[in-house]
Amino acid sequence: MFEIRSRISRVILQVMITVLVLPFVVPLVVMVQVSFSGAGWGNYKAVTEVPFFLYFFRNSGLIALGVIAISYALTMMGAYGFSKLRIRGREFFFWMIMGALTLPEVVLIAPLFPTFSKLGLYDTFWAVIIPVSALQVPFTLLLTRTFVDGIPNDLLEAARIDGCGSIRTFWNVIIPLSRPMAAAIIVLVFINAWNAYLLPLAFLQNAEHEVVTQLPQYFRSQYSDDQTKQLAGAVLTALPEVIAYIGLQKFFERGMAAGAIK
Amino acid sequence: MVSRVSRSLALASVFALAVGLGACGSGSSDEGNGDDGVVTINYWGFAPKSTTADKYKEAFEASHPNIKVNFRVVEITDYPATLRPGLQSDDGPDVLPLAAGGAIAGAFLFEDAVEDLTPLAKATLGDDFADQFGGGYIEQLTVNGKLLASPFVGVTAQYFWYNKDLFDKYSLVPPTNYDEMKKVCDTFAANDVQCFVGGFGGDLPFGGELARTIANSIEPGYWEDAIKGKVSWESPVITETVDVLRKMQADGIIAEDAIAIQQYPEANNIFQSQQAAMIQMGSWYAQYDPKDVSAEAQEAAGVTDPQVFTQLTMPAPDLSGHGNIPTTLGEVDWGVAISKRSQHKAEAEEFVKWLTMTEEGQQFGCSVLEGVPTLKNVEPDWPNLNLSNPELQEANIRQIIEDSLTTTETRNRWIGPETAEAILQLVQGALTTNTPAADLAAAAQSAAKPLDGAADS
Amino acid sequence: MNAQRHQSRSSELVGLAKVPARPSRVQLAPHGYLWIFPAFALCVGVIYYCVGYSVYISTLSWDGLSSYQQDVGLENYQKLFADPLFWSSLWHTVVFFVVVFTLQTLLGIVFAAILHSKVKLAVIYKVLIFLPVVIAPAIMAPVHRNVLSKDGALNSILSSLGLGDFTRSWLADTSTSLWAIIGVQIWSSAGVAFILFFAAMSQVDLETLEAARIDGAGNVRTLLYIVMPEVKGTVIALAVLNAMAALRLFDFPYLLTRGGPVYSSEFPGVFIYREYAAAHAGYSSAASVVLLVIALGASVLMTMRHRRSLRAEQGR
Repeated sequence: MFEIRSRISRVILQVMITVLVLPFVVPLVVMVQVSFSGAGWGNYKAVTEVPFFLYFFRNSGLIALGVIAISYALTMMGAYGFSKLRIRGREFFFWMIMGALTLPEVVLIAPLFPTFSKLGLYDTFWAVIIPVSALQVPFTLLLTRTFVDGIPNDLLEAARIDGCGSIRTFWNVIIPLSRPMAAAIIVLVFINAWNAYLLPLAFLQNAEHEVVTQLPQYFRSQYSDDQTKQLAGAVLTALPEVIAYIGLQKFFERGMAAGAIK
Repeated sequence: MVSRVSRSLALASVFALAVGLGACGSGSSDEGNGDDGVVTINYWGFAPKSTTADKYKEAFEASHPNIKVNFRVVEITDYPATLRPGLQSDDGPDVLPLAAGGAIAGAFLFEDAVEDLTPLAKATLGDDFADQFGGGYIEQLTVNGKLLASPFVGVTAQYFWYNKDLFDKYSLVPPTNYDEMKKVCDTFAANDVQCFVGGFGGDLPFGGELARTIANSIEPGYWEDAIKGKVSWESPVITETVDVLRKMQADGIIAEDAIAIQQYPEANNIFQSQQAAMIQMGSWYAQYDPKDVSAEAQEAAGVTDPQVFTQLTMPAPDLSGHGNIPTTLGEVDWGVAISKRSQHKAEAEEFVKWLTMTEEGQQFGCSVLEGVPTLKNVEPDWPNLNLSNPELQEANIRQIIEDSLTTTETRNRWIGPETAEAILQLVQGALTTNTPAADLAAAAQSAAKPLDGAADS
Repeated sequence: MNAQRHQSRSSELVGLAKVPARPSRVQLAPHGYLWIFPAFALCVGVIYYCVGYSVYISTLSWDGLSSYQQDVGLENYQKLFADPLFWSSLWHTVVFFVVVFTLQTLLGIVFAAILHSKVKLAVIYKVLIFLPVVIAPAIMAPVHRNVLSKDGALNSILSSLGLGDFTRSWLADTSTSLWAIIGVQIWSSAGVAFILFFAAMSQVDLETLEAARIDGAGNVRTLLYIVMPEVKGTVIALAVLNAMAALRLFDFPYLLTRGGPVYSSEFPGVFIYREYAAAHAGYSSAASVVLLVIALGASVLMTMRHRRSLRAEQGR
């Protein structure tokens, strides 16, 4: 964004960003420090020795995939509809969806519990995927709609002139051009799904169905609280999220959008 | 390239859904009325911890081959969100632990949702079952004639646990009043040791415990009467308690950080890593007496090279100078209840019976020293406790168990959510504001709400 | 091809602002109902079902568990509006929102802009600012308590900067507890703002930037007049999201201070949880409903102005 005209500007920018990033690093350093204190690597070993340890990662992964798939699909379709298509009462519908952003998770459990129970969904991943997606979509929709607003209408015109119906326009224009924002929301949805705690706790029963957020439970009890191992677990839990984030970085590159038009 | 990305996304989602569905189908046992008549009961609760639970699960399943126990840790703070909806549905827990009182897991809060265990107790232990349990435990878990949970472990509280090695190092003895306390603390401060550590932040009632210690030294029993609504919180006893708390803070006995830290993990870590010499905990703290548990706790506190040290209890000192030694509190710590909506009540009863009404089950509670045994005549497995200081600590634990049989004042039995909040605000107001003590007491009076039946007890 | 021709025409600059080449004729756009239906069905279906349940519960006096329920009509709402704790929690939310949103946006834009430029080791910075987002509040809370304690990292840094007078126990002090939570929240969410602005800035036309630079625009002016308009939509979206998050805030205040000391850092989310845990299910639900109404109102207000200006701009 900024043009680096001289050596000095480069240094200034580098210093600036380093200073700004420092406050963010301090708690992270403390966290890693604590995770290595006491038993050191033994903490990490203890975490991997928790029964069903790998299952937790698998389960969280499955739930996250489900949530991402549903959120991404519904968000892209919805953003396209709200941003570029004709809807009477568009804002009213939009605000109704936004209203879903306001509920704290805990309020969802009491009404959903008997519902899922009756539908036989209790202790299945759907009981987590559905409400988590429902909580993600308003937020991703809000962001993506804004982003799609920024796609020049001329491109849509061009596609229409070329004979594309709304579906092909969606597939060939909207989806590719939205990649930067799509990457952003996929990362954020992944994190929210991966870190989901209360909904899995309430709706998943068997140990084989538990998710990574249950890991700290094994190192805590009424009269004890082992920070060293919990934080070691947190470091391990964070790894997939960081990997996903780094992996999706290439979608943020400028110019990808423009070059993708056929 | 574009369509390849979208296609892989689509494939990924289809795969995810398929696998997800598959995974759910296979694993979900739904109280597993499986092929071979094996019934699975679900235990959701805040105690015991998973390592202990694994042991008793193994033992129970060994002697009851047709019953499997699926144990799930649900912390106290998650009780309202998960247990309450769960208890109103058929998919909830079969058995769950309940406490004697307190803001969240007190048995009285669950009166409507759990079975009456009196028939089971009578059938197993006879008509005099109440006498076979110690210290009023049955009474504490009985509401409106209904036994809501069967007592598993008991608790005695108000002790000051101290690090004998640190005391010996500076030739100190446990203080019995404020002046002695101040002297002890001055010595420790001069040697860079924190004298007393307490974590009064968060949900747990430790600030209130200390306040109660002070109040009981001013006028024994007043605090409990106030909780029960028999006397008012607006009284010189309470205002003096506030003053003493503030004095302790001014003298550095209560740290400035006390409200900012929690008993677990912070205060516990500070004591276990031997940075502090005293901490106020109850009988459950004996679980750190055994060498291996102590070493683990020290590692959890960040100590790379755990040392063996001796921790012992001393009676709480008379901090107000009125000459009354605060009494030890005692009540059932928790018991096991059966959900009314359980689909496997017979099996659940087997479990409750085994855990709480037999010596075998009781051993799992008292031998890890997490609490005192609730059945009289049950003792911890003395030879196999592996204590850090067997001589002194065994005597100490015996004393604790004896205390549990003679206490007259309960701890949380009569504290409901509103009263717990009132006490919390009283302590926080004392330690972080300059609000006059009288105002704090008045606020406590208006916020507290005695439980039904308290006034008659 | 046609697309490229249209694109370059739309990149023509009039002044430094980007203007569409010709007004779009949305009148001919197809209907969007089917497109928004799935999102609508999921969100409104699931969430509003729970909202309806909450509204129903808010008219009861119920402990959340027993079968004993008593209809009390609007009494819970009356009690709520007379409750000074509820109002002070709302005030804290307002303060929280203003400060967090402002700082988050500033930090997000600055980071995104700098990291879009050629700095060394960009990936490391991107990860470091995003890591706080990844780690769940429940896990970080004891770490934050540690950092904010009397002899924690924050005080050490202040002392070494010569600001030793400012050291204190940040969470135990009624005058700083709220600010501590605000600080922690900014720490944990600036990364979100960053990633969103970073994505939004990718949309800025390379040619536009080139042209501006050729015209002699400096970095600041480029930022202000080319980049900012592009990200304005994101700023508004972030405002709405922050407002929702502020109203719903629970984790950090509960975990760090439980709303204290003496309710100095009380938030509606903590209030709702405490009342629910204290077996006042009806009262707690009433607070949830009120929060929902406030949240909807706030998001409507914030997006209305933006939509109007957007519409004017695009000639719809």
